[in-house]
Amino acid sequence: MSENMKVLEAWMAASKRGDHEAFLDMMADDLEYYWYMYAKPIRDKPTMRKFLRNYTAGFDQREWILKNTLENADMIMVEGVEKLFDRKREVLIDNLFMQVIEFKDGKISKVRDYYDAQRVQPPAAEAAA
Amino acid sequence: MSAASDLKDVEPRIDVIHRLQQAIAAKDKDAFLAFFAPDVEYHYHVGTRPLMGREWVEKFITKYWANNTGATWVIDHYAEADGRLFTEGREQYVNADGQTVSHPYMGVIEFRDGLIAGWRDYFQMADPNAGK
Repeated sequence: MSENMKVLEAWMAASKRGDHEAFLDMMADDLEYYWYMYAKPIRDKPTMRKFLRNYTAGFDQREWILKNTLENADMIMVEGVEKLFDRKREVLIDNLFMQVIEFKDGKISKVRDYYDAQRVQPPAAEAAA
Repeated sequence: MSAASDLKDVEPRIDVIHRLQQAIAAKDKDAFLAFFAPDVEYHYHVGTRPLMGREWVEKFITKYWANNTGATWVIDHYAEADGRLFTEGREQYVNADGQTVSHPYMGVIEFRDGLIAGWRDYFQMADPNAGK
């Protein structure tokens, strides 16, 4: 397993146990996170911290599964599914997604999420506010 | 010579897709279809019912090319291994209403015996910028 993949797995584990500070520690200070490709990305840790807090308030991420992964230099591309419980609508969503994670000096520096936001859009938009 | 006949197992998958892009740009339907396995499972949008088989792909692409003009498919990043290619990019086109539509996307393309046997594209079907 590559060092970048180890970081990715640790990042996911931090998310699963709700450890936002550990999650943020694995990201670069000049991070760029496109949680939605049609919105402005998050570019700093205070905003990322707020996003995580609001996201957790809106969703219970019950599973985050990587089905397929490929690496190219300091980039990992993944295909997966996350099982989200939408607290507001009280529904369980299978969010099928792909994601690009770029690394710099052992930290996660750029993330871009691809999914159909029609399935999760209303609470996700609130989570990012 | 068909586009598929000169596929080689050793050819980088990204190069195969670049040749597929040329067939698309030329709207050469026979060349386009020659890249696909007869039993291809094509999810042009994950979350929508997939196209099963090359004949269904032909019906889809005939309608798609009729309704969308000036399509440009750009691949920004990719990774490949073990007969699989992941791509990240965008597609821009002008739809039947004259609107320019741009879709950022990621996709998985799976090969078997040099042909595309599986394809899954992830993006938001409804463009939030349409009409703005």
